Amino acid sequence: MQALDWIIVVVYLAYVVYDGVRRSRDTNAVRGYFLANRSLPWWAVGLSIMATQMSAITLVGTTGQAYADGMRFIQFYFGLPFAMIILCITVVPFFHRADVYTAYEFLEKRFDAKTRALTGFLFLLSRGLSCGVIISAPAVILSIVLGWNLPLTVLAIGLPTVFYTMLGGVQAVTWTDVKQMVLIFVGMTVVVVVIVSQLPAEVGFSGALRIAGAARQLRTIDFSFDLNETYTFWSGLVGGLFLMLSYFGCDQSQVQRYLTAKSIDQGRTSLLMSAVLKIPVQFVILLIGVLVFVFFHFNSSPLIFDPVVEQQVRANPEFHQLEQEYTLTSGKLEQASLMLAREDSSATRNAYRLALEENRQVRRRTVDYLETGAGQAGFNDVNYVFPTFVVRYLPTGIIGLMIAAIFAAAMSSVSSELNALATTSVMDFYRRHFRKEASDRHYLSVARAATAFWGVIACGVAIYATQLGSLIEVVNKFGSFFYGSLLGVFVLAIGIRKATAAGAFFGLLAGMAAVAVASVTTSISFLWYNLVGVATVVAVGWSISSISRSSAPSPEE
Amino acid sequence: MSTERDQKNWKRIYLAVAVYAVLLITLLGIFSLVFD
Repeated sequence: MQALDWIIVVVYLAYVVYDGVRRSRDTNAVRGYFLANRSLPWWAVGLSIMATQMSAITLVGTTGQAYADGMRFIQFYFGLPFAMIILCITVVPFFHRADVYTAYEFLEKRFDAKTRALTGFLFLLSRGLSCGVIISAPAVILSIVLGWNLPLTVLAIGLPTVFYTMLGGVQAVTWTDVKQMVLIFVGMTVVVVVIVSQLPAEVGFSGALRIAGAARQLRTIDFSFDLNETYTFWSGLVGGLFLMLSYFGCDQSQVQRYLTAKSIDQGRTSLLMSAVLKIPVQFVILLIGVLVFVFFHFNSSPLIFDPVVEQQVRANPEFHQLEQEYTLTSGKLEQASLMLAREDSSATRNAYRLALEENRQVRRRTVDYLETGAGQAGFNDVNYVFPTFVVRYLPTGIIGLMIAAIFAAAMSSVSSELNALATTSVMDFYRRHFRKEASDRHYLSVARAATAFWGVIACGVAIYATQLGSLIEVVNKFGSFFYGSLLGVFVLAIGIRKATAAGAFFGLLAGMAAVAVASVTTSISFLWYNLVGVATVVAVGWSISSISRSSAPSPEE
Repeated sequence: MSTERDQKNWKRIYLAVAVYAVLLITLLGIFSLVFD
């Protein structure tokens, strides 16, 4: 990184803090701090929803995935537009009319305090720890690729985010999300232009697509019905539908976005903005990964993208031999790619595919060697592809822009999470159970303290994440156990008039247990966990409600 | 409260978004067929 890149990153960080802090003027009451007094326009809320969903690992990980595996990841989002329509019809009007601060508060109005406390607690537990993962994932990658100090990288992402979120509340979160999302869009566009301009003249954009197509990197749809596969049409459409319903309908970090909208209609429009834009935006992100794949046909790529592992094995003769073979096969691949770009025929395609397979075989042997001969079990460098490309091959200035964009992706997600964690802590627990009557000023101070508390937890988890390996996995799994089951509780609340508090509470516990059993006894993709959770909660909740039939009021009553 | 006219408008919007999503997925399928 040159001085100009550093200046761009520092200017970005300074501006985002300034922009967030100046919003604190409008947040001198709890309603302003948590709900922006329900004053935000749909486009700002819509961009904030997209920014919250797009973490740095989405930006970095999915480009790497497209590089390695093509564009089939796009199917993951096929259920999203339909989920948004369902949420616009169901939860958006319910939440707005109930005039709640959190999704879990709605559950108390519909069921009881016990259900609200359990769902709120599960949210705090899963999101409180996963917030650290959102910071640690890009921080670990950036610190390795750029040689930065890990705790300092975590603090560079975490501290400014905690600071502006603590002072400015949801106003700061939303308006910085808007700028961060714009920065990410600009960064993506610039990268596409730069990659295409750096390809050989006879290749260009259409040649790049031809090469990627011949490599089967542009396959976007797989109709095979395999419950164990995550990226198929059916997993994305059905499993993805339930995942998106859970995430956008029950996760406070997203619910809080559209609760800040001026009206029900503006809240609906903000969700539909994601429905319209998410798949095209994700398509462009994946296309960047595919273009990087083609770019490396004409520019020497490292045999492995993790610089730390590369450093460890570089002196090994076996690795050296593999590197030489890789250079040789890469040269052949470049020639075959040029032939294909000049003339698209079955002969040039077959020649290209042969050269690619030869090149990939060397790479596969390298991974085998790393896993079995070099003590790197489970080696995977997909997440290092894009940052390595950015740092080694983009021009000065663009590197700074892209590092700022990766920071922006991380910070926009973390700020929403912190804000939602603080809201749930204060509204669902502190004000509900510990201090029912106090001044607005008091709750505002507690809200700021809660934001700082969760920020410290997130940074702490992020710094120690590499040492908490298995714990992080448990946290991620726990989140997936909880998501679908929570959706089931909302289905009971909104869709089944006769559902009772006991049905909802025990249904939720049964749903989580069912997902845990499914994850241990089957190998189905995690996308289907949500469907298992919803179905179990609704079935158990409805059965218990039928038996107990207590006097829970329906939402219309 | 939303009027009947509003509700009809929203139904049209939802239908338009659903049709758009189906078209988008179809276009993605055509895209991969063209380049595969």
